[in-house]
Parts: sequence; C-alpha cells; structure tokens
Amino acid sequence: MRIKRYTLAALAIGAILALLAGAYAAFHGGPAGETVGLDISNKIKVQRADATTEAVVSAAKAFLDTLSKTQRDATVYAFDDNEQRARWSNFPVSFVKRGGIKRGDLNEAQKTALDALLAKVLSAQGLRNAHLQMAADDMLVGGSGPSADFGSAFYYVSFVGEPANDKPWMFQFGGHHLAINTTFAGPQASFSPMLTGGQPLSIKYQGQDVYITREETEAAQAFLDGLDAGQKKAAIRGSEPINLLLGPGEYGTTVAPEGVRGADLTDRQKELLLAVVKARIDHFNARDYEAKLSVVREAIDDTYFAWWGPEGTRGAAYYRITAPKLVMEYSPQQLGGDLTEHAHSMYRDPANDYGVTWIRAAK
Amino acid sequence: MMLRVLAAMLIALPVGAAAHPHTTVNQQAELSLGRTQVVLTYLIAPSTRDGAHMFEHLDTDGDGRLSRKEQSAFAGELLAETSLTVDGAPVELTLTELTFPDRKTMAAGGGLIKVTARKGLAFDSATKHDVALEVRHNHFAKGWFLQPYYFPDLIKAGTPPALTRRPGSTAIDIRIPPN
Repeated sequence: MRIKRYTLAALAIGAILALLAGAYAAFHGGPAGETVGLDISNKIKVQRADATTEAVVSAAKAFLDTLSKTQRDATVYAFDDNEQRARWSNFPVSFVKRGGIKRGDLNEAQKTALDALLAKVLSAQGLRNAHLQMAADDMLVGGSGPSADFGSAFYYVSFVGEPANDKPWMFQFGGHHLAINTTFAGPQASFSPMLTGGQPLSIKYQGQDVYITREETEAAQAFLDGLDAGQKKAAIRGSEPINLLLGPGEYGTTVAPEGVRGADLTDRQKELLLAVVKARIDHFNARDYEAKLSVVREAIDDTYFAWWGPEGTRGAAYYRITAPKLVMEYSPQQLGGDLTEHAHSMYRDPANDYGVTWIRAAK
Repeated sequence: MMLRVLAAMLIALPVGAAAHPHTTVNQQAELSLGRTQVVLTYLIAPSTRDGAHMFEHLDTDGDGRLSRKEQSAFAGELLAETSLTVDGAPVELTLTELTFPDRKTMAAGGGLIKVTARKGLAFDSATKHDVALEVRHNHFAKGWFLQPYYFPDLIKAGTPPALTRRPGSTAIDIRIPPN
C-alpha cells in the first residue's frame, strides 16, 4: 500500500522537483557544495598494502582497463584535485554535477567490472545498498514537469589519484542520495564522508518488498527501547525531527555531542548502541568494518546518542551518534508529508574526513 | 491533497529561481564556540506562505529592496531578542555578515536570511565556564532550533562540554569543563 501511494507521488516528482531535496537545503539556500581546502603532503608515507587493498586495487585497475582512453581520462583525476574530492551531494546530478563517468554510459562489461570493484570496496550489504538506492531512484524517473536526471544511469564513478598499493588514492561512486568516497592509503581506508539514505525507502527489489534503511532504523529503535526512563530522557532531545547537520558543505565542522552518553549505559545497552553503528558501517568491506568498529568500541564511553522525533514509527525520527572518530546522522526528509520515505544518512569521521590524517601536509 | 498543495505552489514558482521553496518558515541559530571566539549565525528560511509578508516586514520604506539600513535594523531586532551570556555576563556581539534574498525569491519561499555576529573570548582552561543562549525572536515563526558547534581548541582534550536544552524554550546551556 505504501509503495502504491508512493508511486502516485512519484508521477508528480518532476513537477515538484524543487521540493525534493528536503530540509537539508533549508539552511543552505539551495544545493550545498562541499569545499575541501586540503593541502596535500608531498611526503606521504604509505605502509605496505594488505590483501584487501591489493584486491581493491586489482579490481579498480580491471575496471579502468575496460574503459576507452577518452573514458579513462574522464574518470581519473589528479590526487591533489580537491574540487573533485569534494564533488558529491544528496542532490540529483541536475543540481550538482558529478565528475567521472556516468553509469548510463557504461556497456555491460564495464558495469560488471564496476560492480566487481564495488564488491571489493564495500561489503555485500554495502553493494546491495548501492543497488537498492539506485533502484529507488529509478522509481523517480518519468515524472511530469521539469526534467531531472533521476535513475540508476545518473550515478558516477571516479578516481582521485591512480589506484595503487603504494600511494594514496580515492574511489568515488554516487549520485542522488548516494556518495561513496573512500580514500585508500596502503592497508587502511577512510570511508568518510559517506552519504546514504534513499527515496523512496519502500521499494520492490528482486521480487521482494524492501525498506532500504530497515536494519539501521530498527536497531536505533531497539537501542531507544532498551533505555530506562532517565536514560531516555537524556537521549530524546525533541519531538520533531531536525535538519541534517553534516551534509555537503560541512567539512571540518565539529558538531556538539549531546544525548545519552556511553559511559552511562550498561554493557547490554552499549552493544545495542554498537548495533546501530554496525548497521551503517557494515557497508564497508570486512577489513575496514572491523577497524572502525574497534575504534568506536574503544571510545564507547565517550559516544553519545541523541534522538529527535516520534518513537515507534520506523524512519520518522532523526538520530545522531557522536563519537570521537565517528558521527552518523539519520535524517528523515519531508516528501508529500511522509517522512518515512525519504532519508539522508551521513557518516563522517571527524578525525579523518577524506583520509586527512594520512594525506594532509604538516603545518 | 499534499500533491495538490505542492502543485499549486509550483505554479507560482519560477523554475530555477528558488531551488527549494519551503512550506513553513524554518529558523535555526548556530552557535560556534571556542576558547577565543564565539560566532552566532541566524538562519531563516522563508516559506511560500509567509515569504512575501516577511519581505514586507523587512522592507520598511516599501521600495521593494532591502537596504543595508533595513537589513541592519532587522539584525538588531534579532540581537535584541537574543540572550547570550558567558559565566552569567551578557556578551555583546558585533554584526559581521548580513545576507538577504530579494523580494521575488523570498515570496517564492526560497533563499535564506543569514545574519552572523561574533565576539572574541578569552576562556582559560583551568576553570569551568558556563555559556547560555536563548533566542526569543518569534515574529516570523514560533521557535528556533539552536545548534552548537565547537572550535577545535574547545574539544582537543578532555571531556567535551555538556549541552542542556531547556525544556519548553529555545534556550541552551553549555558547561565547559576545565581541561
């Protein structure tokens, strides 16, 4: 029923295009662009790559080998190209142009090679999520009114720097509601900043009814349900969802931690909080998932969870987890009055956005 | 019903003129706090319903433009209905940036009013400090969302400041522990 209602809404999507981007734009007067004034070090030392990085680099090179010279030239940027590094958005490409090569311009062999690369960078869940988000965007195609570039054809792949085992480089894939920005440096990777979410969130995918953010939103509700009255009072900050804070344009921003603090949770509650984190970072490949989980677990006492919105309605509340090396937001967006069908989810590592700790020049 | 409302809004909206019209006025005040400075930024997103009236309120001479004087007068209204204190003492902010949409954009529910004010601070790290912010300007819409951000010098070591949102008001209290 929800899908049917949404489909009706989607028919008008072109006509209401100006309204789609949601609350994040409210305080940016339009599509906000990220600005990354990053002075790249010319003395970057990269540790020896491990098997994960070697597999990613191999898949990246295999993908690049499928491209024509013209396509390849359009796909690989210089490593010091901060403009491309920051070229991602929650908006469709009609509003915020992406760099690289468009998925719709790839032939089947190239798409297969791209999927093979995504499968190395991401986990199976991460790859599935990317496909779910593109499938959701396909539902927005064909609305009346002003045209916009919706659909899985309008997702772009690019590299900032040549894929290499012994040098840092960055892989980018994204479009409307999806931005994967992964900086590799030898045996390490930073997935920050990463935008996920989707619109609509209830879709039919491979014959199944899917709610794209089900695992994470249910984990968040389960965590909230596991709090006692005093803890819940600390966690719930307001009755209405608030705007996304750390979307494009917020590089270098440190949002104030608030909500219930990890140090005030029982061991079981800490595990429930970690389950929310896991539901987001399990988009990463296994190595980087484990590395990030370990860092978050270590700082769990200094991790905060805050919630704005109703309880018990899946996907209707904004929540934020703030830790020393992780901030993640889930931000429902207004579309036709249904907050539960449009979400912007931001992940940032405030200590290592774009891998700055590995690549930034010393001051 | 909602689609009809949206479609009606679209009729009045020149495509591209205002990328993201809003159905309700949205007000947020961002407090950026460090040991040596405080920056307060008011962000007001006009709505399709109220944007034209908001412009009329600001355009006191009715000439269809917002002069610097009119912009400053409104910013002064905001500051007059804001209370920012550090350790109980009022902080006198200086306006540093004013941005207002034109009438057409605001009437279409687009653009953003942005008013920024700042003040130098000198927090020593040996003692705790209390910062309180309340915004009471409700002429365009009821309520503000207050969001603090921290400069690196405030959080580089030790426990982060404790943030309390006062129930039933648009006011926050921040306690900065000694380092």
